[in-house]
Amino acid sequence: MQKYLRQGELRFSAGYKMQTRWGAAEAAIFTLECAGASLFATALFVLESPAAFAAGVVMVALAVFLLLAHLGHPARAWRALSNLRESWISRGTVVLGGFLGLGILYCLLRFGAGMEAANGAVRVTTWLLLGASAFILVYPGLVLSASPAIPFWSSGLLPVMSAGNGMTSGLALFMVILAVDETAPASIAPLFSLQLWLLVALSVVLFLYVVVMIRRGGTAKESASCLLTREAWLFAGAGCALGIGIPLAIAFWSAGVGAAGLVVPAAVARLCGDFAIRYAFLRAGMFSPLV
Amino acid sequence: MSRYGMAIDLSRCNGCNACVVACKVEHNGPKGILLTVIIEKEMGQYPNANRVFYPVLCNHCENPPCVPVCPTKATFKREDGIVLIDWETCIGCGACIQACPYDPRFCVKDNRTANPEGGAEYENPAVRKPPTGVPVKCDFCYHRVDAGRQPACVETCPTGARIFGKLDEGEKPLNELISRKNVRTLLPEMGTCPNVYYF
Repeated sequence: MQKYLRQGELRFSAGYKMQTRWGAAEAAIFTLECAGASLFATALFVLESPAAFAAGVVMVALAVFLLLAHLGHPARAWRALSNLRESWISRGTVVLGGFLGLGILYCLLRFGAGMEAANGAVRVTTWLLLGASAFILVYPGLVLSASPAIPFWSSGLLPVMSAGNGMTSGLALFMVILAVDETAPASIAPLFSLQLWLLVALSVVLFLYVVVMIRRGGTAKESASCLLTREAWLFAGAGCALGIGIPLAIAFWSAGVGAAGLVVPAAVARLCGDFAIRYAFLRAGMFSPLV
Repeated sequence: MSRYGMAIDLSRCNGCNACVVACKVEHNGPKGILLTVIIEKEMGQYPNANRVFYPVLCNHCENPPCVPVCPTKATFKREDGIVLIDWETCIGCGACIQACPYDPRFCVKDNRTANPEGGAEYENPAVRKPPTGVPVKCDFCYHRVDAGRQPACVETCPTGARIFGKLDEGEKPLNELISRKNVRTLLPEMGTCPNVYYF
């Protein structure tokens, strides 16, 4: 017998109900936009690489395209700007659109011919882009935690987890770009150390998240136990072992060496893990029994 | 302005599903979507076992969590407390479906009704058929309420288990009933303050 009811399913009994509205598509959108924004911000901080900027903007643009394709009425998407006071989706729409516009503007100002004089504009755009990137990193967590109906998502740790996931993915992609771009003057070795500490921090946040949810009891505990049992292959296997364990081992081994050949498998594992963790969290979301 | 609400007498509901069918017919409900359902719960053990029927629907909450999450303000609350969806403004993002703890909203993927011929001759002309790509939910039959009638489920209930009316008008039967009986709401810990009461 099926243990949980499914959202929207016509079952005339009471019990925990799994949310089914948001799934793999949303997880992919969140992964793409966070990794893209993080890649762009990392390039702003570490080394101004045109390839990193372009890849960051393309990833966020792809996420926005997928988001639009996923709406019931994509042609009306502009209407999502009308509830900035209350809705995180409205705010996210503004910031994602702003990030894309500013990202393209920044690339034109920074690398476009005859734009050397625009130093002030570059500085302002840089700060705005850093702010937008920070928002995009926490945005999936803010959207999900605004759903009070799903106790597992209703936590201030969710934006932190989303940011940690996105930052590590963006950094992994940035290292791939540095390794491929032989003209880049920056060394990869210190970035491995940074990645190591970010992955350790992400592991701690994930551990705390699960412990907090188990201690919260009720539906949140049921979701946490679902994450560790029914979704174990996704969360523990693909998310933690592949997405954190392998990049962590590579970062640990390469921190002093700077082994450029390992950045590609590390980035692939990290992106798969990023998606798997977000997807597992979406799949573990459930509603409390009505009676 | 007075708010509308509903009280449901669980001792009277016998789970006949007449309200479910009436609602479906009234709203030209698409296939596979019911805006009100009856949840059955078994209580106690043999020989003292019992079965209770809980009719559930949109609770038209005082603090509806579906309203603030809507990025387009397509979900809104009228002055009389009825929570509605403007299908022309809705973009179908699904945020309202996730925000509501009662799961009374359904996304319309196929708006054909159960009529096997596919024709519209059995559809209710007084109510607009829901378009695809947007959520639907109970609207307390606002078109009937505005015309001074009762919602379809209330009018149909053969046992009179559903009582509909204004909540803050002293002499009205619903208000009296709520103050007199030991009423409860679904998931009160969510802080949504539902306007559908059970007793």
